[in-house]
Amino acid sequence: MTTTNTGQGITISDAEAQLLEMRPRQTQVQKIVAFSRSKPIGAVSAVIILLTILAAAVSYAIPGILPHDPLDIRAHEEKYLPPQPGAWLGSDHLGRDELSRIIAGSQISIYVGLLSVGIGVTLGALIGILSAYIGGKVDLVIQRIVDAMMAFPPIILALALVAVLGGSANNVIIALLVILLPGTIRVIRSQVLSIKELDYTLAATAIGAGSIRIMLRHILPNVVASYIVLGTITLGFAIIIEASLSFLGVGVPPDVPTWGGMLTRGTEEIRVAWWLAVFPGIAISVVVFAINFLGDALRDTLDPRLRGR
Amino acid sequence: MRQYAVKRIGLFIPTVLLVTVIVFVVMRLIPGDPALAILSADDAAYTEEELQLLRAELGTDRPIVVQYVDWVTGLVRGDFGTSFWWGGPVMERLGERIPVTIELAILGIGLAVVCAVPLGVLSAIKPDSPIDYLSRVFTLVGISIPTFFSGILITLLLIRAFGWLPPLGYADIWEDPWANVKQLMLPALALGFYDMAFIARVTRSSMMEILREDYMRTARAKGLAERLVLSRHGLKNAVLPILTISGWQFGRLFGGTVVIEKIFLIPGVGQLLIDAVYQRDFPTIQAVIVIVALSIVVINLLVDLLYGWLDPRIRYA
Repeated sequence: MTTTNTGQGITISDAEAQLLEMRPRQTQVQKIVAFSRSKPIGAVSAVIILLTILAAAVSYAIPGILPHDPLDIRAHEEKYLPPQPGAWLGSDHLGRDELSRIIAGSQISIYVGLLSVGIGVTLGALIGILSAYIGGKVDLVIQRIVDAMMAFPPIILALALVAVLGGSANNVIIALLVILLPGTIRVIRSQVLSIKELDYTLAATAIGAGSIRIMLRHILPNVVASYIVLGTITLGFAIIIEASLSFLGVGVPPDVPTWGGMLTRGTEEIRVAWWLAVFPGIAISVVVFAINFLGDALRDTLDPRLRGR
Repeated sequence: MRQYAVKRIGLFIPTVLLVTVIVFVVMRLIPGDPALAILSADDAAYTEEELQLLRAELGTDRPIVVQYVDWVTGLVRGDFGTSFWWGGPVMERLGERIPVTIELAILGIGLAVVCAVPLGVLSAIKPDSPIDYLSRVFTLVGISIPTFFSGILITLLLIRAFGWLPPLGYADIWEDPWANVKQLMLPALALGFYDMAFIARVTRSSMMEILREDYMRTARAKGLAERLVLSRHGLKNAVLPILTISGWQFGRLFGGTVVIEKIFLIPGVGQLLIDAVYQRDFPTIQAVIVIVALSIVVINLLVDLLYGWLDPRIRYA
């Protein structure tokens, strides 16, 4: 082991020195800087995701900012215009501008993704905490339901739900909630089960803290890391499911530009116009790729226990 | 082993029942009820009398518990109800589609395992080598690309690079096995792409762990050839997690077939499901999801039993 002489006759190991260095509380800015240094790809991914969210928000608030109206069939004089200056990503089978449609398409992906994950993971975490904390029969029943829910391939359950509820962005969100809940419940529950046995929770019980206080003050803060990581990873998954539903033509109504919906047309026209199949696919892949990378980086930084899951 | 099997099967039965309950509940979420959905399709006009008649015909006027029991006992007998769309028994069309999808799924997972395991092993025994980097990039890309986009990319690559596209559609395996395999190879590759990446990742990490085990050092110390150390002591132990993951992935693969069957125009269960969704043919949708979910429950059970049989540590845990 290497040792460092501090000059006062005391020697400390590298590991301890590192601990001492880490001791001062970091500000938010320092934390972000440290994260970008240790996880550069994670930081780049975070920027890509933020830019996508920004593009979705801005193009929704100020539609005029897009190069063309995404629904305007006279955006370009020619149909199937290959990518070129002025029509950077080409035009589709009706002469609509592909670039404008891809930017507009981010709105649905981001809206559906953020909302379903925000609600789904929060609800799942709460149920997971309750299930583990209450334990006994309640836990057993909830876990059996989770088991059964996990038997359904996500896309097939989503198809059935959307078929029953009808195709709309909000119904896709409902379908996604049903799909996201079981996995979230399971992960958070298993964490709470171990937290429940830790000394500080036992100590809190010993001094007579109530169940709600223990759950809110002692358990909740300790699952926040998993919650953030789960939220990130699930976001990519939610975006893929939404795109798959739109691709199959059952999600959001077809007149709304979506990445998945654009891909359907692209597949049909793949011999005529490769760009119609490639660009929306790249848009989905890049965003999901960034989300997965950020999720991995956050997991390593925030919660090493989740590694290898 | 017996105790473990009994315990595992004990968990299996409530899961199966719950799966049927969930399917039943989901299908009852239809705003109004199926009869109303059929009659009001395309905003057609209908009378109250017609509605009551249809409800009686579909059996939806009976108490919900009676309907559920009726449906489940039907399932046990292989009766999946009558299609709203073409009026015949759902099972008749579903039965033709099931072998197609199973073949596609088996080819997909087979291709994935065959490519992923050697890749994962190579990457684990030579960490930080070019092949390891290549394989890690591949796995990260592989798990980020949605199934439908990998299908599209593969098609595009073939058209651009070779000016060739395999005949779309489906030839019966018994009539023309060669044409059948030729047609299913690419869809299977696209389908298994994600799993290939995923399995390669699992193989790599489980192999890495095993390489550090004491018995590996012992095997080398007693002078065993490296090839034998890796295959007999290394891979043999790494196979367990790979097997489990592949089993689970097989279930997930059924979801992917929906998309792949649409891209490559394969007449499987997935196509049937999508058509049923378009046609609002609820009995068919209900039959497809219950069959898929139950097959996955059964596959998971088999994987767990196999795992317990192969690895004594599991059954005594």
